[in-house]
Amino acid sequence: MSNPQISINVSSTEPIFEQLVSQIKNAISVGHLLGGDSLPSIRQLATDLGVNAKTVAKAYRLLERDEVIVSRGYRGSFVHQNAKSNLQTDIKSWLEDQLAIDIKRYRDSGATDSEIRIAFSNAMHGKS
Amino acid sequence: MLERLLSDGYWFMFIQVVTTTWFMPMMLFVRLRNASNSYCREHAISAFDEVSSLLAGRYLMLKVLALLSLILGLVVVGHAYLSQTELFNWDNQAGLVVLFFIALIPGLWISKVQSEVIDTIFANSGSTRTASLVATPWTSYVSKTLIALLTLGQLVFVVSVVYFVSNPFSGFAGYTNLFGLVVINLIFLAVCYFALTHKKLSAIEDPGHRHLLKVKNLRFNLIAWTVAVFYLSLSLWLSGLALKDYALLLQSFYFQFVVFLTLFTIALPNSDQSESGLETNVLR
Repeated sequence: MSNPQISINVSSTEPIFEQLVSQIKNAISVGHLLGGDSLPSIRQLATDLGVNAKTVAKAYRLLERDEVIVSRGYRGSFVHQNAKSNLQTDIKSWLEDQLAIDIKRYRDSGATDSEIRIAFSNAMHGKS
Repeated sequence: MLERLLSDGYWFMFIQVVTTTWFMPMMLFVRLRNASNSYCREHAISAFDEVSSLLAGRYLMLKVLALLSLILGLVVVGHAYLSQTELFNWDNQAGLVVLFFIALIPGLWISKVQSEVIDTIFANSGSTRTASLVATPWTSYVSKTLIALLTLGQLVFVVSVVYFVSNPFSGFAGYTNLFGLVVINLIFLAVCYFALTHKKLSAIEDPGHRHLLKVKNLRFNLIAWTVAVFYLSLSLWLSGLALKDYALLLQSFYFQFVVFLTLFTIALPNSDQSESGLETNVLR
């Protein structure tokens, strides 16, 4: 029986939560983890890796959002039944694509980068 | 023969002092040193020299501490024996507890050394950390038999207290005894939690080794916890049946047993025990 493992580099410039997300996705894509398999608890993984539990929680939250894993309360987290097909979901690059389209539109209408940045910041912080 | 031994009840106190303050700490340290060196040689070679010199220095200090504890214990028991009084001119049962605490001095030192060893391995472990992606249920850490025994021990104690409330003996504290049980439970629970969530354990590179170390620590704590709870019930019954000499003997052996148990737990896992990753359940 295979024993899938995860290895992170705490000195890497890549954030730890992103390393966790990509490695868990990788374990699923190569078939080390199958739909329905249970994952270690947030605390257990954080302890074993010597990282903050909030970092692992963030990675799990993102994987859950992308329907790669599913949380079942006190029973823990499990690999989603459709995890393999959901691995392609990449909200980050979708968001970057959408923003690039929008920014091009603003620039075409004559807005400067500075105005776009300020407007974006105001919108993000709920200012009109 | 038995009567003579019991009438001269100091023999087991001498045995307790010598075993718990000298023999067991020395054996424990040698075990820790061997396991640490063996582990570093195979899995953390960059920490080997540092760990070896750390242990050499700490061994000398341990000898001093153990010798002081031994002398202190022997003086206490020797004085009580020569003057034919109870320990500390006070009470044998409480005196044995004090002797046990004296014996904890070298034990705590070794525990600190173990922590330093793990810190050193952690500091030399580089920036890569590894963990298993397999969920480990609590049943992989502790056996159901031990949990059942612990539960049984708690039930026996509660039933004993209830019985002695109806049939009290001199000095019986009534339902306050249950508070003592709650305190013991809380202490052991906290220790078990710490054993499972100690962050420096990530210094142990192989997830299988790490799991094994947790299993050993938890098993030790659960056995000590179970024995403690059963011991409480037994001492209640021995006091209730006015068998104080047996209660003292039992208490002394219990303390020695607890120190003895640590021999099999406070150590890094042997390198040949878990190359099979997390499949260490067979060791339960």
